[in-house]
Amino acid sequence: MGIQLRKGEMPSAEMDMTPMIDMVFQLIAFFMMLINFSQAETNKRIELPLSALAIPVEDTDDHNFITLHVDDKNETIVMAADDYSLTTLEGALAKRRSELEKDKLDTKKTRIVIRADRKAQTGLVQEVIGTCQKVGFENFKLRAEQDRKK
Amino acid sequence: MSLKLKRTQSHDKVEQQMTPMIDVVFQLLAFFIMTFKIVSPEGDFGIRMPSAKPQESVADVPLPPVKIALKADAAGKLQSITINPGTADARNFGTDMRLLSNWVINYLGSDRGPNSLAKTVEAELACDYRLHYGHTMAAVAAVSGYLDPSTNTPISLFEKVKFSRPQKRPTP
Repeated sequence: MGIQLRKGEMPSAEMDMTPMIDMVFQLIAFFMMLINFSQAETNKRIELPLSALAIPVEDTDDHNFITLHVDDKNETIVMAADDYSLTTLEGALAKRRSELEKDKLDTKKTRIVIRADRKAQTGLVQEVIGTCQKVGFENFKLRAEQDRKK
Repeated sequence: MSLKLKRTQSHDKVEQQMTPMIDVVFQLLAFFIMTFKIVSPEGDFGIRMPSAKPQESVADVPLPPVKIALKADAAGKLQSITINPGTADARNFGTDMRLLSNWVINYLGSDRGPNSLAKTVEAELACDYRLHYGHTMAAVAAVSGYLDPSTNTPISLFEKVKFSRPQKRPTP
């Protein structure tokens, strides 16, 4: 009672690829939506201090800010992917300030976002703030990572 | 002269080659999975810093700031938290930030109006040069606010927090 096949005739077992491709495209869309290109702003060398009160900042179109990464191990300050020492930072900040002024942004309102390592010396962070003040910046934001355990 | 197709030819399937597309799609998928990172959310604490120039608005501050001295050992670990050091009101909290936070909550009371202590008085942090920045930020958070344990919403404390003048760099 078996199925009899003619000689040379093979049963075609075609897999339906549509659901798999659907799923794969869904996954790609998911990862594309969630990929965070602002990570270019962060620095892997820095472990931020933790705080339960560090409420995430909302993304705005306001570009009137400068992010400084303070790396205590090498005593370097990273601004826009370039490394500076305390002595070279002042000139770089002055240049950045003139760029912001060219863009007609109010540099008195420029936010200096400081991302310092939790084991950095507080005095070094204060020196960085002092250097920014010399250039004329007044508005400082100290960044922390949200501590979800508390 | 019309083109005649054989019956068998008219039903020929034009099969698309799916393999290259699936290859590319899997490459894309692998790329996004490899580059995907779960990022912890970050937040900011605002700091008011004394300008290098003499301030004209000092006379506008009606009450002296609450000074909080944070002492560190040679390795940068927190050794003591002292409120208003060198005065009769000086209080030492050891290394417990919760005691500092509780003191601030009691000092400010519940008033958050425009003339309240929370809005008019500044908290001034005097930190040792070597103190690990993590401890400094814990103190900034303790005087800036706390999470209400019942509602888990942030309650603000001092609105003006600043650092005192930086200490000189210690000699190695």
